[in-house]
Amino acid sequence: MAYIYPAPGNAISQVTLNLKLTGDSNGLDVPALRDVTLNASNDVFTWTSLDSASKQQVATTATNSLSMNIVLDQLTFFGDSAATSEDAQTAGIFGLSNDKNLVDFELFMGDESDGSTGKTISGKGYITGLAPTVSADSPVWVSPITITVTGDYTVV
Amino acid sequence: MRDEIIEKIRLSGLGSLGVSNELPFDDNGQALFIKNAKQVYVDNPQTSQEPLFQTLNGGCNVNNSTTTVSVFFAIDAKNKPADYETNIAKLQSVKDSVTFEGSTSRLVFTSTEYAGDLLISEIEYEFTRIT
Repeated sequence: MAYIYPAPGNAISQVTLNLKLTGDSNGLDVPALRDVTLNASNDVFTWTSLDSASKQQVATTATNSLSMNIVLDQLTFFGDSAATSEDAQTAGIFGLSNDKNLVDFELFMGDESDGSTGKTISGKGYITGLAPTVSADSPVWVSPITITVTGDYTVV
Repeated sequence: MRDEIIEKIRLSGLGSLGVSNELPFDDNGQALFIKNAKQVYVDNPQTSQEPLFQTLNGGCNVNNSTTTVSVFFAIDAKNKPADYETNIAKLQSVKDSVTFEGSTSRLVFTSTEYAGDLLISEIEYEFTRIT
């Protein structure tokens, strides 16, 4: 048994999320992830037949998405105009959402507890669900982000 | 920060109290502010840091950084100076004039205790910012 073991603060084994646009080499590393949820929700087609007391069900297509909460960082949220040949860095998370860009994402889930290298889940999607929030007793802005995935996940 | 606090205290005009540049160290087992009554001593700033938001990619933790500075002075408990309350108020108000970039809160706490016939007052400034 080897559990997936994200180690916050350990640059090699911590959870990371990278967003790329076509042409980017390094892309945009999303900082200050508070939590991440990987959603893979299959739709189910249900039917009944006269000769069965129970419903029949079969899984059909999945709705995939990645949701998380982050603490807002100025450069990564609104873009870094000084970034060269890195479109995702220039646009920032808000720009990628505003422009409805299709992004390639890579989520590294953390190493295994036995020290083996962990898995990376990748795919393509759109950034949605931004809702930056601040309150009187929260001195920083936080925002949920959803990456609405188009197509399958790839696990490497 | 300590130098600025000393300067602000001096500028506030404390009447019956003087202001010392020395740290409130112990001299032969006796703190300087006890040995030299009616002198205000400002201690070194103490800092602490605690995570405000833990993040999964830990290099990006959002921390609350707190800097605390204590000020001490002693007066004769039997003959409390007439301007004692005024001086306490002046010392408390210094918290708002000290430069502390990005501060999210400025607090001040005042406490007193007796040592023999002396009334020792401690004013503690607490400044907080995000790092």
